Amino acid sequence: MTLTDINKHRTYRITSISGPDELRQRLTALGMLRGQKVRLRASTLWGDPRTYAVGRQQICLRNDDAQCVAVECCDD
Amino acid sequence: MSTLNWLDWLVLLAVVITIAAWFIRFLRRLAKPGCASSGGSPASCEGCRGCDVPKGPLR
Amino acid sequence: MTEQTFTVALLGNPNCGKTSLFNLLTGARQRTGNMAGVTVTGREGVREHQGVTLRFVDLPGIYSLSHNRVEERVARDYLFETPPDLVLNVVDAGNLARNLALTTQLLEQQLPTVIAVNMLDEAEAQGIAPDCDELSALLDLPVLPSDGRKPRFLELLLDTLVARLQTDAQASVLAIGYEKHVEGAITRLTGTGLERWQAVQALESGGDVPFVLFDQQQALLQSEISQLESYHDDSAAQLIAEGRYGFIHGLMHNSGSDHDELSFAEHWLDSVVLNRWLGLPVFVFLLWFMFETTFTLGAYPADWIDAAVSGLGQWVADGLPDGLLRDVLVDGLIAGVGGVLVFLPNVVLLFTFIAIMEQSGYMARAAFLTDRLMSRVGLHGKAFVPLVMGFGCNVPAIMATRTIEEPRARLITILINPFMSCSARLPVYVLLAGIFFADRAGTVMFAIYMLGILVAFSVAAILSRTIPTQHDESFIMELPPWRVPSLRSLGLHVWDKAGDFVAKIGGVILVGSLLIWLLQTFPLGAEQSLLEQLGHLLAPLFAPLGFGWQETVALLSGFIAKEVIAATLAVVYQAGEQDLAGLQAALLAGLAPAAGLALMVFTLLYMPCLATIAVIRRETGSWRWALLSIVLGLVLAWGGAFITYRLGSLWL
Repeated sequence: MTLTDINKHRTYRITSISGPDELRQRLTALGMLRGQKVRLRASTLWGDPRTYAVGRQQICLRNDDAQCVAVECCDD
Repeated sequence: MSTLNWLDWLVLLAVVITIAAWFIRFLRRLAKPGCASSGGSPASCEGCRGCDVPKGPLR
Repeated sequence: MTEQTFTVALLGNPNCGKTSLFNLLTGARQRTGNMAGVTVTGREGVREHQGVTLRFVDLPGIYSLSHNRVEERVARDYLFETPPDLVLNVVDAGNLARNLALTTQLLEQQLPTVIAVNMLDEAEAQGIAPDCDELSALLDLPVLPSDGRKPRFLELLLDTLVARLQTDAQASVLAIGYEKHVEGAITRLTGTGLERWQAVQALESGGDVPFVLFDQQQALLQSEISQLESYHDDSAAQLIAEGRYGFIHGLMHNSGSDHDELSFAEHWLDSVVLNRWLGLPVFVFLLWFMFETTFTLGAYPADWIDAAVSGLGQWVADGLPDGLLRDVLVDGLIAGVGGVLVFLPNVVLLFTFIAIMEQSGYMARAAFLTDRLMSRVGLHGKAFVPLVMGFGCNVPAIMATRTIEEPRARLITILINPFMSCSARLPVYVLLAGIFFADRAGTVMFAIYMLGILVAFSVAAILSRTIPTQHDESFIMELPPWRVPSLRSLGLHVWDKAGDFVAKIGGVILVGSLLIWLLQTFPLGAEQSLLEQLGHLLAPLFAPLGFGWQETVALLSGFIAKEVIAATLAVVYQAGEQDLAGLQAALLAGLAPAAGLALMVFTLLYMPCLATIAVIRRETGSWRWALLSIVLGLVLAWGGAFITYRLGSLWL
C-alpha cells in the first residue's frame, strides 16, 4: 500500500521510501522517514496532487511521487 | 512659428531637453548589466527591491 | 572604539519568517546583491549596533545543505567559500524538529551559530512552545526567542549577536552518532583527509559538494554509498537523516519540547479552501472578488485624486497667460500625469490583495489547486510564483524564473509571462471598463485577466509541444500554516509599491506625456498635428479593430511603458477638458463599446514593454526569444482584438 491508496480517516506509518535519489532526498529533508506517521489531508478535484500531514506540516505530493512511499495502517 | 514669443521658445527647449535627457538615461540603463526598470528608481540597481527571488513556499 | 564590520548570514527553512526578520534587522538599508558568480540573487543589508557594523546576508530558504538544487547550492557554496562571521539560524517554533535538521548540519560544519526561534506566539497558542533556555544549554549556543513581525525581541537579538561576534566563542562540536554502517563509511572517508562534516555532507549529497574531492575520494565515496544502499533499503541520505532526527527527538525530549510524531492541527479555513469540490470555485471567486473590489473600492479615492488634479489644472489654466507654458502644463503634464495618477488607488489595492494572499498562506494553496492544470500545459510547479508576480510587474517576475532549473521549462515560463497582465495596464482597463461597462466593470476586468491567463496557458501548451522539456522536477511543496498578515509588513509592502508607481509617474509617464503633447501641438496652426499625421498613417492597420488614430497613437506609446497608454489617451482626447468625466465622455463619443473592449484586449496581449523585452533578452541570452515575444504578442493581440471587435459589435 502506498500513499496514493490511503484515505482520509485513518493514520498510517511509513515503511519505506523508494524512487529516484532526488525524490528521496527531498522527502527526507521534509521529515518523511521510515516510522513516521502520516495522514491524508486534502485532495484536488482530479485526485492529483494530494496533501498529506506529516509531523507538524502539510506536504503536497503528486501521485507519481506519492507512489514511492510505502505505508502500513496503524490506527491510534 | 512666428507666433511664438521668447517664453514659448524657452518652454519648448525645456521640454525637448527633458525628453532627450530621460531617453539617454534610459538607453544607458538598458546597456548596464542590471535591472532595466523603466520606473523612476535610481539609475543603479541599488534601490531596486523588485528583483528579489521570491521567498515563496515552492522550494 | 574601532569600527568593526561583521557578516551575519541568515539561514533557515522556507516560511520560517526569515524574511520579515531580515527586514526588521536591516530596516530600509538593503539592496539586492549577486552571490559570487551564482544566478540566484540574495539580499544584503547593513545595521549599526553598539558601534559595530553588522552586514546581514539573507540566504535562500532551504531545508538541507545537502540538496542539489539551485537554492541549496547557493547557500552551501556561500557558507563554504565565503563563510560569514556568524550564522543566524532562524527556526520555526511550530515545526521545530524539521527546522533543527538544518541546524545540525550547521553545527556539524562548526559554523558559529545563533538560533532565533521565530513564530513563538503561534507555538504558544498551540501549547507547543519550546524552552529556549533548555535548548541553549543542550546545544551550547545562544537560542533566542524572536518574532519577525514585532520589534520586541530585536534589542536582545542584536546584543547577543554583537556579544557573540566580539568574543568569538565557538560552539561545541556536534557529532551525531549515526547508524553503524554509516559511521564506518564516515571513518573511512575521514581517513582520506576529509573532515567529519565533509564526509557526512558528501554522503548525503552523493558527492555534489563545494569542496574539492580527489578522484580517489570520489571513488571511495561512491562505493560507500552503494554499499550502504545494499545493506539497507534506504539510501545514505536517508540513513543520515534518520540519525539526525533521532538526535533531534532526543534533544527535544530533554528540553521538554513537544515531539509528537503527528500532531498537526486542522484549520477550518482549509476545509473550505482545500475542499475537493469547493477548492477551485473558491479560488476563481476570490480572483473575481479581488478585481471587483479593486475597481469599486478604488473608485472613491480615485475620484478625490481626479478632483484634485482637475482643480490644479483649472488653477493653472486661470493663472497663466496664453502661451506654450500654459499649454504644456495643462494639456500636457497635468492631463497626462494626472490621467494616470488617478489610478493609483486601483494599483495599490491590487498589490495589497496579492500581498494578503501571499502572506496569509493562500498563495501556496492556490499553487496546489492549480498544479494539475499547470503541468498539463507543460508548466513547472515552480512557475506559479513568477506568473503571479507578473500581475505586478513582468520584469521581476521574469527574473524570478531563475529558480526553475530546467532551461526549456524556464524559457516557456518567461515567454508566457507578458500575458499575465501587469499592473501598468490596469489604468487602461479601469478607464475603459468604467466608461463602457459601468456596472459590470469589475467583472469585465476579471474577464480580461482571465483571458490573459487563458492565453498564457494555451501558448504554454503549444510551446511545450514544440520545444519539449527534458525532465520534470516533481512538485513537492509544504503548505504554510494560515497566518494573519502583519499590518506592518503589509503596510510596508503597499507603501513600496505605491512609491514605485509614483516614481514611474515622475519618470517615464511624465516624459511620455511631454512627448505626446509636443507631437500633438506642432506644427502650430496646421490642420493636423505631427501626432495626428502619424496616427493617420498607421491607423489603417487598426481600422478593422474599430480604432481611430488616437488609439493607434496611444498603443504606439505603450511601447515604452504600458501606463503611458492611459496618459496618451488622456492627452489626445482632452484638449480643453480637465477631468476624468470629460475624458470619459470624449472616449464614449469616439469609440464604440466593442472597440473599447477590443482595445482592452489589444493592450492585454500586444508585445511587452521595453523594459520587459530587455529583461527577456537578458534572461534568455539571445534576441531571438525577445523578438519572438514581440511578434507573438502583436499577432495574438491583433487577432484577439479583431475577433473581439467583430463579435462584440454584434452584441454590444
